[in-house]
Amino acid sequence: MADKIKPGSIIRRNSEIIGSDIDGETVMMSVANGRYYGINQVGSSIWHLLHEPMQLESIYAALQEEYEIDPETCEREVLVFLEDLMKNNIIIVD
Amino acid sequence: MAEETKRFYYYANGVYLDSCMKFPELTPAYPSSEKTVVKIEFGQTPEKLENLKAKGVRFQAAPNEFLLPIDDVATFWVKNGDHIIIQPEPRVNESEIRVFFLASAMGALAHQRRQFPLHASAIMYNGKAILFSGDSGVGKSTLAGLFHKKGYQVITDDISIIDKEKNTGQLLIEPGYIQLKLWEDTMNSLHIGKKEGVLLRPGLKKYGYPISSIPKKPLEIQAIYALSVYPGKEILVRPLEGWEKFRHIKKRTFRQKLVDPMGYTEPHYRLLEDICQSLPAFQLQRPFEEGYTTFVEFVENHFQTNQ
Amino acid sequence: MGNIIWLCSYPKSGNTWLRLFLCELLYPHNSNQPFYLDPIPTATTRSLLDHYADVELSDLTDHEVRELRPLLYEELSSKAGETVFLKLHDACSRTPTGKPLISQNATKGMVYIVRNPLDIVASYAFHLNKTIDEAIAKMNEQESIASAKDKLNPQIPYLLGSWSYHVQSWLENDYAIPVFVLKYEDLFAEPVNWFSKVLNFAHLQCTEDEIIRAIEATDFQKLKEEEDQNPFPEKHINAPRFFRKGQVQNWREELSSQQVNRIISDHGKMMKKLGYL
Repeated sequence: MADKIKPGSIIRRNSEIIGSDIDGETVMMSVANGRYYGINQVGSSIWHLLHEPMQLESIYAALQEEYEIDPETCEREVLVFLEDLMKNNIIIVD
Repeated sequence: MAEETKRFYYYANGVYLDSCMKFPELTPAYPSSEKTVVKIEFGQTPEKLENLKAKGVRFQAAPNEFLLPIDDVATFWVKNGDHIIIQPEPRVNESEIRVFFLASAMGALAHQRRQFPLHASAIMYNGKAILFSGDSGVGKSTLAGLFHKKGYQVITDDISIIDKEKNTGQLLIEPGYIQLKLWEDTMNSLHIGKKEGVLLRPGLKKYGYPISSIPKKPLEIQAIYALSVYPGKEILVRPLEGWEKFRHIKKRTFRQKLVDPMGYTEPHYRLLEDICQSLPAFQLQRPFEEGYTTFVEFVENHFQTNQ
Repeated sequence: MGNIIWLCSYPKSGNTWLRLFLCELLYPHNSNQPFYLDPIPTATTRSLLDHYADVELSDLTDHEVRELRPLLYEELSSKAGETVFLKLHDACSRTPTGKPLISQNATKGMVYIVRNPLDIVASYAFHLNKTIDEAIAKMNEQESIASAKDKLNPQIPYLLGSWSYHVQSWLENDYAIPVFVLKYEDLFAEPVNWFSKVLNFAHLQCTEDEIIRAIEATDFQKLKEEEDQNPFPEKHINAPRFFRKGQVQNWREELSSQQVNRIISDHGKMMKKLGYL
């Protein structure tokens, strides 16, 4: 397990987090501490992508395709988002 | 304990109760073999739960256990979803024990039975349930009382017990108690005389008003209305969806803080998820100034057109 | 020592302004949400207290609720685990068995906001949708209880007392808690300076830029315009609106000399003490 997201990092879901789809939005809960998280659409997309562990660069690529945004903005925003998810123990970085 | 012999049998919130105490608020019924029976007994309660996981100013919670002492009334010990032990304080009036039993002990029991207790009143419309959830003081019981006066059957006036049907997986609401809890001013505005109700506790201007019939069987749920009052002019209603709906229902879960320490985090979440995914919910805002007559008509019209 | 910083005042003394400012500054939120006050609830809100009481307050007698309140705040403080703000309109009082309403265990400190009663009157009258003379009478009612005892309101009943009693009860309280007195007039004249002092008192660090930005976001004129679009959630049931003028020394235009004299005869002693006379 790593404590930083770097190029080449493999990112996976924390198995203690359950996510559910409610009216097209994703709600997540930690089985470990009972805490709930609501995330936005991009977060939802990332969560769905991560049904299998994925390399950072492949996440960028998939999202660029889905949202049609330029690589730079995409990478910057996704990284902030992933760091937030990591801080909250929603994803695990290897 | 010579008095132990006399037992009373009831059905409420989806369970049969085999009780040491008489409950005029519950529907009398003899246990059938398919449903579990919850035993209610007078007895000694512990000072402290052994596997204590959480406590508050009064309650203690441990896996499958809940303990609640109420000063000068009684201590309630709810265990394994099938056993409630009551240790009354000396000289307490039974009606006071019942007030806390029916809300707090039965609420904890629902969690232990993996049901979903929602802070909501409910009425029956066209054979289905309409739920009104919200904070204390927004008018859940008043609304139930008004619909009762209009001839609708009330299913519950305080806690709505939502259950999953074993075979079909469908979400159902269980019939509650045969009483509405109403404050004196609500009694007045519903034109109910004080003599028609029973004072719940000395020093509290709140009455138990018996209602003759509630549905006998669990019902399908048509919609949940999240009730609030606000300082605007118009009655507002809009669908609640996604995260917003989830947050509302989670917030109105009766004693949500018992879920984790009693060990039901995941099953409770699954039920909450299911409720959010399968039941429509609306936010319903009543202006402060709005009289209840127009409001009830508005609401009635809304659930008729949104069947 | 506990975690709660009480924002306490008689009604219409600037409490809401302070709350809006602190929420804007300390709790990031979606800027589209008008009147963001969620992180600083009112201490007498029934649903808030229900959460810590483990029973419904509506099943308890007034006597029981009063006895229980200090414990609920201690519980809230310990569960919070960090500094939290609560708004309080109660006069300083004790429970039926003599315990302080807010204990040292629950309390980190109190910001007591005081405003010239001559300026409160017109605002209070407007808030209650009553005449100026009725508001003057209400401000001199010694036993004044806010909210109702015999029905279920979203706020529980509490002792408000007269204006003089309210101020005196907190400024001379024997609870042994740190009290920071904030005059509305000072805040109005030098918001950056006085808001900074409040933050210092609460041991919270913010830059001057952040403070200025939060002051601008909660500017009175802006709040007023916002209220034209969205009703303010804590507006009194009978009042046309919540944000009225927010001025200092406005009483000179709004009160008759007779009314001014009455207020001075009711509250002169305390007004002198605070430098309003």
